[in-house]
This record gives sequence, C-alpha cells and structure tokens, in this order.
Amino acid sequence: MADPVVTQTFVVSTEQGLHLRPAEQLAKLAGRYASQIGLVYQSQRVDAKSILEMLTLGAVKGASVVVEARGSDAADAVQAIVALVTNDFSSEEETNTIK
Amino acid sequence: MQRLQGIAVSPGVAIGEAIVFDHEGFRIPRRFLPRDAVEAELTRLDESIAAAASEIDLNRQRVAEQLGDDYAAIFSAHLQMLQDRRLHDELEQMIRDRHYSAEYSVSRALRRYAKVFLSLEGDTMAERANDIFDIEKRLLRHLLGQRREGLGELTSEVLILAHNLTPSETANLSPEFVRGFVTEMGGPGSHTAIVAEALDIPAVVGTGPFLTEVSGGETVIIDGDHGLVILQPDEETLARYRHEVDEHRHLAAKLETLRDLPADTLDGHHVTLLGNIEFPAEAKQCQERGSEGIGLYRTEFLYLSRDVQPSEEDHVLAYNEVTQAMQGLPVVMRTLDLGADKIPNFPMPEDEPNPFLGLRSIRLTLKHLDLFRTQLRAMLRASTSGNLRIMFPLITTLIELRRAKMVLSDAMEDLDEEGIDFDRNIQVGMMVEVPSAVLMMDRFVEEVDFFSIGTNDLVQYALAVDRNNKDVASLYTASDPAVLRLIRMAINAAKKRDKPISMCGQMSGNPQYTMLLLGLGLRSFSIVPAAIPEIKRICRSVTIPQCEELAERVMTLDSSRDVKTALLEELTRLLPDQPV
Repeated sequence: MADPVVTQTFVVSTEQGLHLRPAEQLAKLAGRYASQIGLVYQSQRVDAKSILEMLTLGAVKGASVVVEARGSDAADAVQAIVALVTNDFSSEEETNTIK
Repeated sequence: MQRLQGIAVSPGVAIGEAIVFDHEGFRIPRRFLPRDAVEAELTRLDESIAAAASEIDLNRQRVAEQLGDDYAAIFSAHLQMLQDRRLHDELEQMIRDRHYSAEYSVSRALRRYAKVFLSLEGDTMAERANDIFDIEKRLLRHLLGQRREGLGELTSEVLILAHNLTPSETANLSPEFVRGFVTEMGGPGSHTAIVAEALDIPAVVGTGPFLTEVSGGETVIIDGDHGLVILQPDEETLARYRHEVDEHRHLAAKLETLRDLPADTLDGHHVTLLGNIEFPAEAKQCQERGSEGIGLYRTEFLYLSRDVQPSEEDHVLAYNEVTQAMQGLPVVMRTLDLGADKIPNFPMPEDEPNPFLGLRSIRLTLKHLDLFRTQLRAMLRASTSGNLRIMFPLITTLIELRRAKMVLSDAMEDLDEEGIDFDRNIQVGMMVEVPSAVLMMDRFVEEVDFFSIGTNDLVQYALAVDRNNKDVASLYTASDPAVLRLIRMAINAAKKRDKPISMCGQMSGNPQYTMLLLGLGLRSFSIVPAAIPEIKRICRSVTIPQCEELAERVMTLDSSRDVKTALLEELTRLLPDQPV
C-alpha cells in the first residue's frame, strides 16, 4: 500500500529568504518525521531534511515553495512545516508543541 | 607518465615526493583507496565528522554563554550542515564506489555546494560559501591530523606543487625541506621564481592547470633546466634523471674548488661578482660562495612577511644583520620595489588596471613619503655598521631621481638634528630598468654614484611583454637584439664617465650571457649566490678579446633565436660540461 502524498504551498516571508537559520530550523523539524519530505521551487526538488540542499534553492523572500511529503506521518509533517514558515520561523518551541 | 611544459625559472633537477597546495593553501591529495581500505576510510570519515561536530558544539556553547543564543546560531547551522544526511550519503558513495580518500571526497563534495551558492543571487550567498569552506577546513584538519602541514610546518623534503604561491607564503616556508616548486600560474620574475633562485632549487611556473592530475605523496620530477614537470614518471625516465642529478652534484663539487680563486679572465681582467639576496640570512651564503659584496639586497620581504608595515627598528635590525655579515664588503640596498597591490594592508590605488605601468616602486615611495622616509632613515642608521649603499629602483625621469635624493637629504638632516650618526658619504645609485633611463644615461651619470641594470624590468618595458602572462611570455627574453642594444648603450654611457655599472637581473646570473656581457664591457655581475661559482668558472675560462669578438658578432644578428643559438654554441664549445 503506497503512502499518500501530501502537498501544500507556502510563501517565504523572511527578509533574507530561505537563508541559513530558517533552513536550519526547517531541516531540523523535517528530520523529526519519518516521511520523505521534499521542497519544490522553480522546478528544483530538494530534500527538506538537508540544510545544504535547501540552501541551493536560493529561495528569496516572496518565493512560492511547495512542500510535499510521503509517508506515515506526511500530513503532520506538512502541517508543522507550513506552521513554522507562517510563524516566520519565530519560535521553535511553538513548532515543538505541534508535534 | 605525463609531461607538462612550463616556464623554466630556476635551474636544476629535483626528484621527490610531491605535496599539493590548492587555492586555500590546504593540501588535498586525490588518493585512491585499495578496496580493502574502504571500511576503515568510512570510519575515519565518521570519526572526523564527530570530532568536528563536538568542536563546533563547544564553540556554540561558549559563544552562547558569552554573547547569547543569537550569536551562537551560526554554529548550530554549521552543525546542521556537518551532519547533513545528504552530504553523508554523497561522501559515503564517493568513498565506497569511487574509492576516493575521505579528504578528497570531503573537499570535492563541499566545494560543489560552495560553487552552487556562489552562483546564486543574494547578498548572503557568498557568506554561505564561506560557511562551507569553514566546515571543509575543519573537517580536513581532523582528517589530515598530524599530516596537516602548512608551508612553514614541513618535516620532510618535498616538492611543492601549487596553483600559485603568494609572496607571504613563500616568505614563510621552511627552506631546508623545500626541494623544488611548480606553479600553475606565474612567469619568469614571479616571486616563486625569485625565491627558488634564492634557495637554489629548481622551479617551473606557468604550467597551466594540472593539480587535479596529481596526488600528494607521488613521485614527481621537476626539470628546472627545461621547464618540464613529469608526473608519474616511468622507471626509464627516473633512471635518466637520477643520472642527471648525479652529474649536477659532480659539477657542483668541481665548482666548489673555485671558491677562493678570483674571478679573473685568462688575460687577467678582474670581474666583480656580487650576490643578490632577499633575506638577511642569505648574506652568509654570499660569503660562502666567495662573493665580493652584495649587489642587490631586495628589501621587499620585510614588507611581505608580515601584516603590519615594518617599523624603522625592524628595518635597522635586518640591515645591520646584512652589513655586519658582509664585514665591510659593499652592500647595495634597494629601496622598496613593490606595487601598491602587493603590500599587505595598503590602500589600493584607484584606476590601476596596469600595475606594471602604475603606482609601483619609486613612484609609490615618492607618493607615500612616510614609508620612504622610514626606510631611508633605517638605511642611513645602518650605514655606520658596514659599507652600505642606497639604490633607487625604476627611475624613469631625472626629476624622479632628484626628488628621491631630496627625500634622502631631508632624512639626513633629520638624523643630524637628532644627533644620530650615519655615513655622510654614502653612495647613491639607481637601477637602469626603464628604457627612458637608458636613453637619458648621459644625464643620469652626472647625478648618481653607480648604476645597476635591472634586466627583468628592462626586458618587459622594452618589449612590452607581461612576463607573467603565459600567452605572451615567450616574447619575454633578454636575448632580443633591442634589449642587447639598450644594455650596450647603458654600459657605454657609464664607462664614458667612469661610473661603476653592474647588472642585477636574472640575465646576469645566466651562464649563457656571461661572455656576451663581458664582451659588451660589463665587469660587475650581481647574481643569486648559487650562480656565483658557475659564472666565475666562465670568467676564468675566457679572454676579453674572445668575448668582444663574440659580442660584435651577436650584435649583428636579427632575432633573439639567432642570438641564443650563437651564445649557446660558443658556450658549449668552450665548456662542454656546462649545463645550459
């Protein structure tokens, strides 16, 4: 039985785009889920658990990024990631409580 | 086996273990692993990642305590990068499938990321690339462990293969372990060339890219006589070059016997052989090789080997060391001969697309009088400790010379007022290295005590060739008839007024030109100490009429190639065992 794919689009709102700290937080958060999680931006797809790959996206402020997850906890993962981004990566504690 | 043709800048042959320096000065051997070493290599990789991670975490904690979490965030991001699973998969695949060493894998994988970051737009992307380089260095430091060696920390004899060596890198190296240089960049007259000559070791520069073809630890041959570099040499080639090394040694032993004999020609004309030096310590070498003084002390290394500009005391210390070592023999000190772009922490001049035609050398010191004054005061102060002479480089016009002399007399007045002793009759000379100076020699002879022909710059300015540009470097040759005419003009003008004239460029230390220069009337050669015995032997094997006949013949030739051929024929006829 194939796991369902969950996708959702978010817009990068941090001033410097998906830069070092946001990427770090996002990678850390993604790492807590069993699902495969990818980010797609301008037809480039990267592993959301890899900070290095995420930085190669060069997603700037206003970039529209699709998060897609496949796996047992895919829905939770996508929800948590979108929450992190919409909260402007402001508090990691908040994202912890989501899990 | 692979042969690379570069530019021969320092003669001799060296066979030995290579170390490879890349742009960052780190050696990254591209080593392939034997199949059974793969598991051990993976363990080594994981251990170094763990060690680097705990190091970063320690930094993070320390910074967080001192400055707060915000400042420590960069370390937690580095940690995240270091432990990136994708990166780890990639490294593991390189080691497991391609049998790369952990060092090479780390360097390759991380540099790929850095390259991507640099290609992206955004203010912070260059910083991201720096983050990557930082992590790379950290990991390499752990991986290389004891084997990590800067140029100054060598522990065994090596041949240095590098993209390029900066003056400060070469200034800090351990000369006792360096047996040869190869650089991808550079030309004759580059700092690598000068340092190699000073150390008397073979060097080849301007080979073009090859560092990816060679790994640290491999045996490499540097043929500094022919500008050849041989990677992965076969047995036959190795044997041939080992034989050549033996012959070099044999000749050196033969030359050694000439040390205490004068450099007199067969018909009794004395030739003065002086040494060119970079570092005070080389004064001893000059003494050992039987030089009659120092014809050129390049003072630039005082500026290049440190981050702050040298103080007057720094200068005085270095100068005294040289004059004292030479025990009363003349020491010609050249004032700063650098471009503004080469001096650490110095303001870059605007509009400087052509540094060789720009603010360098005497032009620079006349513009930055504080710098000039410091050096001149130090030279004057050191003048009481020996036989010191001052020489101004790159003099182009009479006015320039007069201004430089004016600054010197100001410095003398200041010292006088301060009651500091110096040699009031200190001799002042100039380099003849700009064609305009040659043309104006009849005027310059009235205003200086001595001359020294600087062929490196004279060739470049007369022939309009950048010697560091390998596409045109072949045009750069002292054997060009136009250059020879300029040299003849300069010698004749000085002789006419009985002003001493010497030559201190690379040409004067090249045995091929010795007879020609003697024939043109030159009687003083300033050369790298290592070349003294060789040049002395030639002087002792010729008569002046013989040299004059050769010079006359050569001056009628049309091209540098014809000149070279004629000089070579004559030299091999005279001294068949002389390597050329």
